[in-house]
Amino acid sequence: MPFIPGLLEAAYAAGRTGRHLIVVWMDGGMSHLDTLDPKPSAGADIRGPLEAVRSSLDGAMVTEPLSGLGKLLDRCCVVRSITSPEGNHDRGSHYMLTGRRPSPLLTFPSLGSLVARTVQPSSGVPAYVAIPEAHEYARQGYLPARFGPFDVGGDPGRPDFSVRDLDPSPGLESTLSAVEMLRAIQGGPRSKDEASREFFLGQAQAISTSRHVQDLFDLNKERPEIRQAYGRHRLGQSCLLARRLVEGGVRVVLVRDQGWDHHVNIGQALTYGFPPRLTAMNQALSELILDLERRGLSEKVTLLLATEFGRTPRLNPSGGRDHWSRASSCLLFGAGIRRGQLIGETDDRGEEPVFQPVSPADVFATLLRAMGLPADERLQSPDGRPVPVIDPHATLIEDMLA
Amino acid sequence: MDRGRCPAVSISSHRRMKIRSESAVSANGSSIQPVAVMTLIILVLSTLLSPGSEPALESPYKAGPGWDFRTDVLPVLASSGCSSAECHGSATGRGGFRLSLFGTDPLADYDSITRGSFGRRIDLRNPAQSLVLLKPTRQIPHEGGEIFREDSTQHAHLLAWIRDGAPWRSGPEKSIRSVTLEMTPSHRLRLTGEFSVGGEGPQFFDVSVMAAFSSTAPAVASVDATGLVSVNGPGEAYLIGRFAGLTHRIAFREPFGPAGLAGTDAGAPGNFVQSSPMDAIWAECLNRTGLSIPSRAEAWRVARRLYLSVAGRPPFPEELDVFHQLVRNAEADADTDPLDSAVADAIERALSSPSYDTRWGHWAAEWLEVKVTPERPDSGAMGRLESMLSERVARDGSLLDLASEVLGANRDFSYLKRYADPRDRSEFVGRALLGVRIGCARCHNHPDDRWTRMDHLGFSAAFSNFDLEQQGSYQSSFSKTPVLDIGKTPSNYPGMMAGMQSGNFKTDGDRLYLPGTGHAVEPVLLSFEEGNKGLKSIPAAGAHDSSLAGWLRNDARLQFSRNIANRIFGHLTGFFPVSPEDDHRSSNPALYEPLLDHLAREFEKSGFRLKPFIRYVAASRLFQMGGADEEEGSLPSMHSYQYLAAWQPVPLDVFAWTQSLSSVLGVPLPPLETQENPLSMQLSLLNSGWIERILRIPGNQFEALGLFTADSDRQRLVELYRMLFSVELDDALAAALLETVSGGSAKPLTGDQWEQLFKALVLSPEFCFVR
Repeated sequence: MPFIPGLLEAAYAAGRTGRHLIVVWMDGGMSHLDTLDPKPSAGADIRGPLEAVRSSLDGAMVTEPLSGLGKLLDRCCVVRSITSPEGNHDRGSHYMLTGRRPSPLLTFPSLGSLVARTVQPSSGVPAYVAIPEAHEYARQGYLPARFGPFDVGGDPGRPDFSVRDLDPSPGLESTLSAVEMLRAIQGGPRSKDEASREFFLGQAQAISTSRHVQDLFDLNKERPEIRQAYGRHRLGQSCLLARRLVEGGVRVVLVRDQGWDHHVNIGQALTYGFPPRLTAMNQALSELILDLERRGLSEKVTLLLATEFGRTPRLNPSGGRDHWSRASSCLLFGAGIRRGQLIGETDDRGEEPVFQPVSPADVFATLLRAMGLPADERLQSPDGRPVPVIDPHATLIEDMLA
Repeated sequence: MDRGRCPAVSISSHRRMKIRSESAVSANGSSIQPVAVMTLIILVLSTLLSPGSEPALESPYKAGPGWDFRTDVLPVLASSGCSSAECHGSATGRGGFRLSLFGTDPLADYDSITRGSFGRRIDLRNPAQSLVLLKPTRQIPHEGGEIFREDSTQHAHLLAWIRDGAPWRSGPEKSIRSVTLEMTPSHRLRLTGEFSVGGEGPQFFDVSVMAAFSSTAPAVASVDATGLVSVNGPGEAYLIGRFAGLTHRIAFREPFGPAGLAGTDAGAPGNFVQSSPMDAIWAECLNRTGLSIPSRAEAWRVARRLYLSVAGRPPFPEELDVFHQLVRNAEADADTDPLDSAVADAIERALSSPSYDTRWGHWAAEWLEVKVTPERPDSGAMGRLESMLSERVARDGSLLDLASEVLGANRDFSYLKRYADPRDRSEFVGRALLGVRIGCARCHNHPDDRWTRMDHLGFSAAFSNFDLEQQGSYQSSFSKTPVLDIGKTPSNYPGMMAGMQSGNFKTDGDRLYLPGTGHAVEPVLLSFEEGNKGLKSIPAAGAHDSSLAGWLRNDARLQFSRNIANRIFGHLTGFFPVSPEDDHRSSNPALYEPLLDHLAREFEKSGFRLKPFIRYVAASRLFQMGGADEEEGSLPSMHSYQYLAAWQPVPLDVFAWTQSLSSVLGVPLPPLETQENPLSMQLSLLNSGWIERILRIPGNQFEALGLFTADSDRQRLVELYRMLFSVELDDALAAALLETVSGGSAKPLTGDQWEQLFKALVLSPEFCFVR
């Protein structure tokens, strides 16, 4: 068994808080200086091309394209002092998404999979969904495959978007009847592997035959004005889909927004395009927060906006910023999270934390606590070693918790 | 010496001073460090100011007179669990106090205990107030709780050591050569250490009281801290005793039933004939475990399993016909086994099938970590490598030769160039070619691993100036570089360890430097000989076969054979004697070690070639064993699978499943476009229309079946079933299936309905697993 059976019950019990999680992952390394931690007093080579504006959270500023989101920060918790030694995309992502520094021997389970573990299998609704697909390190790691994410694929921002292969093929009922008959002829599962495959086949059948589950993935079921409010772009519609899914029973949704690795001309990369990246972020995140509140979901759903690392304070000769793991920011909102909380501070150049430095492991551990999961649980690695769910050196960020 | 009778003040005062200075010299190789000097001064002052010291205690735990930190102190911490992975032995320690895992790095531990945290952990003036005693007895808060009591022997032992000045060593040097574990009739483990005390020996001491004991399978047998073994269920476990960085293990078996079933009629069909030495070993293993030899699988299943496992596809109908005909012919001869000649014929057919080359080329690529992405299956360096491996497999050359090329100068392979960091190169060689996780030692020493962090560095250094232009041999530049012998202790050991922990290495593309020392590491190679420390020096330049390939062929040959034999056997049967495949180590023994030993020797005997070895395994009774009995509504008993007493269904991955389907249809198939996760895969198969599309590929066998051979739906279904599952479908069941799909209609199935039925058939476990 890849996990300790006795602890599974404990995990289920802990999971009864029923909290859901949405992770918006800015893939590539979102610049902290150009988003949640601008340095308006620094020189132009550090400040960058974007203006900073005050937010509704005391002491926190955002860059001007994020001013809408800035007005909502008094409902959120902003962490500006994440510091990590991992400045490579893979390693940084592993650290942030699993709460563990990478090991050459073990890929750790992601936050999403750890939460998905606590969900009793139900008819058809996947426990963990990734939009459009999960990062390599947002998967189940060494846990069984059933705790991994279901990747929807495609681009939710496209008018013709639909999740692949959900609609039942013609004659599916007939096929499923034959499958049942064959089971009677050939016998049931004869091993754990056969039982696991049966589980996924059963889940696929349930999804294919459940209008409710198919509707969850159908953005056309949303009113046009709501779709418009989130923004008719990839990030906006992804966030809307995430809200639909958690509202419909999915426990964890990961929205992966790729393309944040801005080594060249970062000002232009963030503010031009269709739509400009920061404009899309501002619109999507703001509307997601407001929508969760309007629907009474802010006490049931925890939201995390995160990335693998920050970017170099000084603009490089190409006008871009390179990888910088000594300082980065994240934003949290919703269930279990203290409202209007600002954690940590970086120096005048945004180089490193000068107050309340925290590690990705600290954020991870605290988020698990906010989700109501046990912090002292141990899993068993495939080779039989006991592995604590949380990095033993992680420290709880008390100020982050409601 | 009975120190308890000595005048405590004068003797111990002098003694402490002497011992302390000795320890400083000893710990650092050549000189007293500033911290040590300061400690010495404090010690002298404390001694002078001390109103009197308690008489030193002679502990019953020690092996011989005096103290040796490595053998007299560290084991207490290990057996108490202080240096376990869950406590201070974790990679980064706990609560600011770090010990090596189970005391495998004595020098670092001594430094941490006596000098770490500004020396606060040891109170020489008032030994009982030392943190190392107050914490585990919970006289002050301790996150790990109470580890031992104040009146315990562990406490008395550590207190005595501190009272004696907490020396690295006092008295004669004690070195331990080996430990031997045995179990007494009362089910208590006893660990005996062979010591050399003061250069004399061997002397034997019972070190059980300071040993740490564990079991590889607590569900079979667990062992408590005192070494008492509890039997919890039938099966096989290895019990491990650990002391001073040494381990010894013994096998423990609790039979499932009365032993002696092998080769008899009891509980098994009486027709078991040992067709090969491998079968004899297997039978003996089952016998010792008290498990019956399983019955042979039905003939059709043997044929199907053989083609699927060897050639990656079910047998073609005409191959099945030949198989059954050969069985029928042999049945007339009472002296021969009716299946043997059919099996031998089928093996040859499967081995000469083109799909064999594809299948085993694919596995070889996986062993060598060649990753071909689905988006670019045929392009790029990885695609070329995979094609080349398939071609090599088809030629059936020696895999040892192939591995030598990986280490050598074959430009077409360029394997090691994939890694910039020498540590990545060495770890790849460990994993892929030898099945050992030398990478475990990148972060910390592990008591169950043969190699330490320093060994890992030394082995990595062997790859630091690896130059493909130089035919894989070593450069001479090391002779010009200040080189650190990894067998000796560097002068700034703690700083170096901290540098290693942070991963702060320096390489200049030519050499690997130790952090903070300015020294390059002396390259060494791994050795797998029993009884040595597991390392081998680099051969001198110009020596015979001084290349990496030479090392593989000579020193690592048997381990290479164990690794590859374990993998081949696993891919054929689904049972990997050592699992995970890349984790051969003493604390992860093979289930049925004698079987793996034999397989390794057999693979070597076959010239490290795939085909002879596959032929040998596939012809065995073991390969032809039947499945487990099904229990109503539940999975069969898993121990039958776990102990190789029943055939466990082997899942086909996407590659194998598609290859199998392509072979049945007789046409190449387009890639199945789906996300990677299993739910997406099942959704795609059900709803994407891919199966319907492949059935419309011109010239496929399914189409031909409908056009030429079938007079009726039932006949067509029976033929199709045989193509897919290698067995006849009963007429009544065929009728029932047809009725299910047609919805009870008496009309012939429509084309769409046939597609729906075909889909159900290829989604069934019988098609997705090798049963």
